[in-house]
Amino acid sequence: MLLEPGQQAWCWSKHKNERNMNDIRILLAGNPNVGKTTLFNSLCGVHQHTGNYPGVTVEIKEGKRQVNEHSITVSDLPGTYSLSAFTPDEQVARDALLTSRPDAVVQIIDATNVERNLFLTTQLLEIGIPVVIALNMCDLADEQGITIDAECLEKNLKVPVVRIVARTGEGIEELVDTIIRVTSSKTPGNPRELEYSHSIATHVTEIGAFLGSHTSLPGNLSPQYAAIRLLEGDECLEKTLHDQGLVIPFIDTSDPAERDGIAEDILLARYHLAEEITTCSVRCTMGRVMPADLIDHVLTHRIFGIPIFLSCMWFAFQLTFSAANPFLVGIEQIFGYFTEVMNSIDMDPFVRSFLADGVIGGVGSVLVFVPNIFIMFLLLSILEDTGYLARAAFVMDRLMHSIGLHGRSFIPFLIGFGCNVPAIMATRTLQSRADRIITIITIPFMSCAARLPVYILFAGVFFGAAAGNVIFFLYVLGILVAVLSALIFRRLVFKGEPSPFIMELPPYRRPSGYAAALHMWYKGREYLKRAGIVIFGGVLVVWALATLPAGVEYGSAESLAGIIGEAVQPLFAPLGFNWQLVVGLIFGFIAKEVVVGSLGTLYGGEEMLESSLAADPTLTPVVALAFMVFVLLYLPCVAALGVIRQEMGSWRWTGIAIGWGILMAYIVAYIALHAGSFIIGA
Amino acid sequence: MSDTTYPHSYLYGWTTIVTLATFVAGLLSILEGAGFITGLFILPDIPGGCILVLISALFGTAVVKGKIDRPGWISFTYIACLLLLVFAGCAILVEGGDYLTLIMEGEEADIITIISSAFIWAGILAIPLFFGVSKILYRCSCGGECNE
Amino acid sequence: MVPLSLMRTGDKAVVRAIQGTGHLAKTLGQLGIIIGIELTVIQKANQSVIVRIGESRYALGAGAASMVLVEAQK
Repeated sequence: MLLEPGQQAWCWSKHKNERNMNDIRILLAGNPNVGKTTLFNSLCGVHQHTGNYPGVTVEIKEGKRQVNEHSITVSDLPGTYSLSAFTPDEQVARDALLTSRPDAVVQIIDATNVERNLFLTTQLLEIGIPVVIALNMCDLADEQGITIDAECLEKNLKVPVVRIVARTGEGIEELVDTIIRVTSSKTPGNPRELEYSHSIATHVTEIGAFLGSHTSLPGNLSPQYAAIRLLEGDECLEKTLHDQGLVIPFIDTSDPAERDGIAEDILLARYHLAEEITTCSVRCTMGRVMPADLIDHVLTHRIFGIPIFLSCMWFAFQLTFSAANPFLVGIEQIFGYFTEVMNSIDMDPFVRSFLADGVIGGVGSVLVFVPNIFIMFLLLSILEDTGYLARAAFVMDRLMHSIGLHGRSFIPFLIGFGCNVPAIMATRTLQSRADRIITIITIPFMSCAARLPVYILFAGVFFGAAAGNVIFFLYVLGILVAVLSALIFRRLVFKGEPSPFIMELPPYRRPSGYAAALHMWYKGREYLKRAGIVIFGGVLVVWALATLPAGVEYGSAESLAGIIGEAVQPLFAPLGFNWQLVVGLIFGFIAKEVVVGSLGTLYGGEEMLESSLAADPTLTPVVALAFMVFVLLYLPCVAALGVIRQEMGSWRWTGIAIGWGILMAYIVAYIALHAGSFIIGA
Repeated sequence: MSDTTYPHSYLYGWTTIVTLATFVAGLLSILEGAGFITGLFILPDIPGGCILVLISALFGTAVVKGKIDRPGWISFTYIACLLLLVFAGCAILVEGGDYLTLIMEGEEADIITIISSAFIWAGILAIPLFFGVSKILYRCSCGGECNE
Repeated sequence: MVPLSLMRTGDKAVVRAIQGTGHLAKTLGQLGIIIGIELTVIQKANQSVIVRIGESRYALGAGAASMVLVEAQK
């Protein structure tokens, strides 16, 4: 996914049109944050998360709806302002629209902001696929005193317009009926055409005629439409045609300045049409001072903006830990009870070991950190729903800029505190490849929720009352290392400035507790499923390695785990880690929580872990600190690694990201060990 | 705009009082957290105290702006109140969580710590201000004038 | 004409030119920040600005804001 605009190959997939007559494929397109995903949910009866932050949908989601004999397949595209894609998420939308030849495109238009949305409409109308307009958030528009004449809009665009309120499901039935009606006619209808100036129209005709007679265009593009795209500056299409050895009149012969002029004229023609249609169909009845302006005034204040944001984060941090604590204690007590029961039942020692150490220990280590993660997701989604996160990105842009990052990188960082995997996926909203690579390399230094159990264990055992401070210090340390890495990569590898920060700010909304809870549940469940399987499996593997070969003392140096650990341990001797810690680190690669689980197994049981650690003479507070630092910084987990590879699109950069993490972990842990010893010695 | 349902001048005066109250509450939290004062009915909390001082700076800015710039007063007061109330809610949850944890671990805990955070004292003072100001803010958005 | 980054909070202005070519102008164009459009500066934090066009708000970092040349309206 990590490609410069213009660099990617057109992935014109060949879609077979051998579908059943009653199968209808539609795409949902529209600007970011207009309610596409909400409509998708009500169309398909599923619960995808919707956000109040541009770019929540970064990949195409598919769903189905059955209406009588018709089966409608719905694809939800990432939001896009136009079809000249600059960011990977926009490219996804553009490619889907142009290559998959759906039966119809439904464009969702935000009724409170028709004119800006119509710009995309002017592009959709030209593709030659039937378009249906769904006018969303009509209730909000009414509230704001905006009235929209849907019939006038329909008459001007010459495509069906349906009023809907996606949130409540109002108008959905009518929309579905319209879709079926439009697609059954099998023609794109006769949509409004743009009025280009004479010179542009001439170029379009000329190039269109040339293309029509010389080549078969990819994805069944009409020659006329291809000509317009070329004139608008579609570099991918130009490259594709060049590779076929075509010299296209005007495009290849005129100078860039003239072509820029033409592209700008087309842009203006689109805006004029959008403006014309808006003027006739939209009435704004009130001239108002908007409360959002007043609120923005304070929240994005030059001086107060950052402190306000930091206070919100401080409370979010406090809540994540304090409010989750009772649940955590409860879960620990329940599992302690299970283990007791297990030990009191008379059974084969091998089976008991499997059940008590393997199964209960494993499940326990997964469940113990669940409350923290759920609360963190809940708080993040509440913040997002209010519309504040986008303002926070603006506020943080200056800070991010000074360390060589883009303001938008900040949201992935924030998500990274919950889980690195969605954070890395969220980097798709960044435009420049350099910004994206630097952000992806630095995200794993954001201490994700999975590392917390390790800190809670070690800080609790070795630092007692100061545990909270130590944990907070680790979070800060992660951020510092991220800043340092960003600076290094920006100064040495990707010289130059981060790309300019431009972002649409969503409207403020009152967060809905239900929506936030739903989001928390789906995010948390997804996480639980993935983590649960991986961690549980990991713990069982550790248990097996600690038990085999048969007959050895459980978790001793003679077991397989011990043999592996002792073989690798010399590498970590400068950091003072014993072989148990090393085995923990190795298995931590599966998922960081496994570190606790596997140490629990190696030290003979989760519930005795704390006392065993405290009693181990090779472990001192400074070694514990170095270990926590190492866990914070070293490899991301397998899942994160997979996403890094996917988003980087190159093994080389994936390798660099991993190598950099291990290097930083080793260096910083070494420094922590010696600085810690020095302080304690003094 | 003098025929307002809420007397602006009273609300404006009240803002001054809340400014002082949040500042004192924040200062006491910090001092208690640092160990200079003990035995007060306020939870020791240095970061929390700093946040209270920040909120009092927001209220203070509102007071200063209010002399010439009424929308400025409204926006700063509204956000400061909102933050204070939300944080007070968070403080109750945080202390409640800690309390519950202690109980579950079978240790001694004093239920009064739940409501002894300085945020709550300051938050109670800010409630009437919040309702008054949000009413004015809402009117700003519905075609009315923010200026008197 | 002055760069947008030099306007003050509350100013209304009309976009007269967008400096530099390539992605910046195109990105701004897609959002509706085009030559001739009127915008209101609703926040200014150092060189960064938030502008409102119609019902939409856009945040522009210092770099982007300095490339947009505007003419102040009375």
